[in-house]
Amino acid sequence: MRGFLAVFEREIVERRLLLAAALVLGLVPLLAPLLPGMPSGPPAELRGGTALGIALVLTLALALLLGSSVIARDLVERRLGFYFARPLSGAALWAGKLAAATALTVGAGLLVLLPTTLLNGFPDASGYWGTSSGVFRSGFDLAVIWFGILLLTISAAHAMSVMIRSRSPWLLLDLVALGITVPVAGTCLLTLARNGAGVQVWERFGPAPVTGPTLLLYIEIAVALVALLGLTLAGGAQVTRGRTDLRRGHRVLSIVLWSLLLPAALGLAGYTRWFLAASPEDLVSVHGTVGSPASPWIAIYGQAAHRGGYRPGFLYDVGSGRFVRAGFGRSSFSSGLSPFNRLPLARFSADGRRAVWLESGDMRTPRDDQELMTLDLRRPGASPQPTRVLLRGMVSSFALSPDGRRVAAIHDSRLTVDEIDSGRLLASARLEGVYYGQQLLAFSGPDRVRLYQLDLSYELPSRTGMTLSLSELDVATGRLTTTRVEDAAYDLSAGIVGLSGDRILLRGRNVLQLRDGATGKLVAELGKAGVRGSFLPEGKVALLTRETAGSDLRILDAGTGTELRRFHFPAVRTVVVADQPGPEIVRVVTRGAGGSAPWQLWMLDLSTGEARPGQRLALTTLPFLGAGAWPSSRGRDGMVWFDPASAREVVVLRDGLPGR
Amino acid sequence: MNPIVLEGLTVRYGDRVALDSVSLTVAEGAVYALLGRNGAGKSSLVRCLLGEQKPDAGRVSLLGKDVWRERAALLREVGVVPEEPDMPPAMTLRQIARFCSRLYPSWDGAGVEARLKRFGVPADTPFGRLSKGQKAQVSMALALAGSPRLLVLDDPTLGLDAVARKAVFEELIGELADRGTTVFITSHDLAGVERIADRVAVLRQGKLVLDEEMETLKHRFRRLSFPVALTPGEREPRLEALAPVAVAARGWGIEAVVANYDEDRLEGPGKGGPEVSALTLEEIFIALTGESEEGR
Repeated sequence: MRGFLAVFEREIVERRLLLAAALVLGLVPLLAPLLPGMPSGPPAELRGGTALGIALVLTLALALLLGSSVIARDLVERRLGFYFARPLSGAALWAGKLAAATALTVGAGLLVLLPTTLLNGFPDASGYWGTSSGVFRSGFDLAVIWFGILLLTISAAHAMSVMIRSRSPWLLLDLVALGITVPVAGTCLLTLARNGAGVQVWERFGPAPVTGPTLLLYIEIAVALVALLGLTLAGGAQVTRGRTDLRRGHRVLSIVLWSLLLPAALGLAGYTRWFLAASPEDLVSVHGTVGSPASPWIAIYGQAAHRGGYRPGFLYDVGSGRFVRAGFGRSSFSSGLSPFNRLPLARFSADGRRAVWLESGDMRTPRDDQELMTLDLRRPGASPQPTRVLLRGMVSSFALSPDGRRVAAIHDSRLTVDEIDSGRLLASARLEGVYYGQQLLAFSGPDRVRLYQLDLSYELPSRTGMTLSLSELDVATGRLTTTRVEDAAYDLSAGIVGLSGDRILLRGRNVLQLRDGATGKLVAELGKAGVRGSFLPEGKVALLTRETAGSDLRILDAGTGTELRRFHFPAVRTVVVADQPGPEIVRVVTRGAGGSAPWQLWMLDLSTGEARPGQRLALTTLPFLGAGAWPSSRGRDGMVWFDPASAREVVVLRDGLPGR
Repeated sequence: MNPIVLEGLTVRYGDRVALDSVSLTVAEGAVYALLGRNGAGKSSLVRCLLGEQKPDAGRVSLLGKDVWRERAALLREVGVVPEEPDMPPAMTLRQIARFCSRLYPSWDGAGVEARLKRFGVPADTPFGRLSKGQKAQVSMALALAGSPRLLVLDDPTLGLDAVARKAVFEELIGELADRGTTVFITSHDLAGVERIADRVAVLRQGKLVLDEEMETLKHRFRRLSFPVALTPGEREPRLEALAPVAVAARGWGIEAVVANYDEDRLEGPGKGGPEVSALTLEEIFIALTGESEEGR
C-alpha cells in the first residue's frame, strides 16, 4: 500500500499542471453567454452546457493521453528502471499509475466544472442527455457510466501504446485478435439489438431516448466490464511480468488480454446463437397466429422466454412439431406501424403448399425494403428461401394469389403484382390515395386484384361517415379503376369483417353490412347490436345472434342476404362455428351460461335444417372465434386448438399464452 | 549465506545469446567486480540480478531468495546505482528522496542530505538539470540511504570525468569502511575497480571467462622480460609451463604476459633470468580480452 500511495502521489505531483490548466479552462464557460454564435437560452444553462461539453472532451483526451503515456512512455524512455530498482511491486506500480491517471482525468473534469458550479450550481447532465426516459434515472448513473468509459479508455490506450511502441511481431497477433474480437462482439450486439434484446446503450442518450427491454443493457455492461477487466489485468501483467522489458511485457499483455477477450467474444457469440435459436416451445406470449387453410401449418409470432424483447416468428407444423424460423415478426409487428396497418404474418396459398412472408433488415426501420420469402410446406426439410421479389418502401398490405404464384402488395403508394418464381413485375399502378385506415387486398380472379380501404379520418368536419374505397387492378392491362362509397361506416369499430367472392362484410356502428364486393353497394343490413357474422367456406353467411332465451345461428344467402336456415339453441349463450366438413354440413360448438356450463358439439344439416347434438366436450377454453381462425387461447395446459374432426383440444404450445 | 548466487544464467535476444550459462557466487562482504566489453552481457546480467528481467534459463538468488519472485521485498536491502541515472527529470532531489524514503523500512534522510551537500548538489534542483557527475553522485547517495546489505552498481562512472569518478569511488570506499556492505560492481574504470575489488570476473561474449580473487589474479598474471634474442621459430622453453597469453619480440629481447606465473618454474635451461613485473588490472584485462578499455 505504501508503494501504491507513493507512486500515486508522485504521478499527481508530476502532472499537477494539468489540474491547474483544467481550472483555467473552467473559466471559459462563464463567458459562454457572451460568446458570438452561442444559441440563445438562459445564461445558466449555456454555462452548464459549455462546461459539461469541455469537461467531456477534456477528460476523454486526457484519458487517451495519460493512458498511452503513464507506463509505455517510461518504458520506451528507459525510465521505468527507476521504479524497478526500488522495493516496489509491479502491481503497486501499475495500480498507482492507473489510479493516478484516472484521478487526474476525473479531477480535471471536475475542475472544469468548478467555476460554473460555484456560480450556478452543478450542471445537470440529465437535462442534456434526456435521462428523463427513466432508463438511467439520474445524473449519478451518467457519472458512473462516464467513469467506466474513462477507465476503459485509459486501459485501452495503455494497451495500444505498449503494442505499438514495442515494435514486436506480436502486434500482428494483436491485430488478428482485434480483427476477430471487435467484429464478433459488434455483430453480436447489433444482432441482439435488431432482434429485440433491447437498444444499444448509446441510443438511450439521444435527443429522444429510446426505452425498452433492458437485457441488452446488461449484456453491454457485461461486455464493457469484461473488456475493462481484460485490459486492466493485461496491463497489470505487462508491468508485473514484463517489468522493464517492453517486448516481453507486450507478449505478456497480449497473452493475458486475448486469452480473456477472445473466449469472451466467443461466449457472446454462443449466447447470441442461443438467443436466436428460440423455438416455438420457448414462446411465453403469443402475439399473432395465422393458419394455413389446407395444411397443419401455422405462422406464429410471440415473445420468447429469457430473451428480453425478442419476438421470434415461426412457421410451425402443429401436427409434426416441425418448424422453421421466419423473420416476419419484424416487419409485421414493427413498433412504428399502427395496429390498422400491421401486415399479416404470412400468406398461404389455397392448396396449403406455399407460405410467403416479408422480411426486413431492421425491426425499427419499417421503411426498409422488404424481401419476400417463401417456404414449400409440402417438402420435408424445406427451408425458407428468398424470392426475387423485393418490395421497396413501407409495405402496408400484401396478398398471395390462391395458386400461390403471384403476390400483390401496396408499397410506395403503388399497387404492384409480381410473379414470385421469376421475380417479374406483372403490373404496377399508382394509387391516388392510400388511407391510413384498414386495408384488405385480395385476388378477385386470376388476373385481377382488388383493394378495399376504409378511410378512418372521420374527424374531418366535412365527413359524416367513413369512405369505402374499392380499387381493382387488371393485371393484364395494368389498368386501375377505383370506386368510392361515401358514408360506408361510422365509427372506429368499423372494419372489414370478411370477403368471399363478390361479397364483403363490413361492420359499422351497431350494424353489420353485406356489400357487393365489386361496387361496394349495400346488399343488406344483417343485424344490430351484438350480431356477429362470418363467411362459411362455401360462401354462405353465418350470422350469430344472442337472444334472451338462447342463441340463434342464421345461415344467409350471400347474394341477397336472405335467410336460408335458422337454428335456435335454447339456454345457450355461446355459439361458435367450427368448420364445414362437407357440403351443406356445418359443425358448431355451443355452451350454456355460467363458467361451469358444458361445451356441446353439434352437426347442422343446412339442406334439411336438422341439428344433431354430438358429444359433450372437455374444453378448457373457447378455442376459436369462428371458422378458419386459429388458436390464440390459453387453456389449462397452455395454448390450445380445438380439432373439430376429433372433437378434442390440441395443445399447441405448452407454455405459450396469448398476448394482449 | 552468499548474497548473490547465479546458476546457469542464460539470456537470449532472438538468435543472439547475451548470457551463456553464467554461474557465479558473491560472498558476504565481498566487493565483486564484473568486467567485460560493451555487449559482453553485463547489463543483461544486472537486470536479471535485480529481477527486472527474467532469464531464459538459470536461477538468480539474491540474499538467499529467488529474485524474480520476491524482487520487491528483497530490494529493501539492496541499493542500486544504475548505468544511466533514470530518475524522473522533473522531480527535484528532495522529491525523489521523499519518494524513495516511503519505500524503504529504514531511510537515512540526513545521510542523503549530507552526501548531497558534500557533493555540492542543491536538493531543490530538478534531476534533469544535473550534470552527469552529479546524477551519478545523487544515485550513489540514494543507493546508500536505505542502509543496504548489498550494493549493486552498474557501471556507475560511465561517462564521468576523472574528478567525478574519484568522488564516486571514494564514497564507495567510505561506505565499505563504515559498514562492510557487499558490493557487486560492473565498470569500465578498471583502475577504480582495482582499488576496491576483492574478486574479479570477466564476461566475454556472454561467457564467464574469469572469476577469481583479485590477489590471486594479480599474482598469477605477470609480465616477463627476457633479455635474449631468439632466432625466428625459436621458443623460450621456460614460458611454456607458465601459460603465456601474449608474447612480443622487442629490440632488447622478448616480452611475455603469463597467466600462471610460478617462480620455481623459471629455473631451467634458459639463456638468462627474466625480469618479472606485476600487471595492473587493466593490463590483465587487455591480455585476456585483447582489447583496451580506454577510448571506447
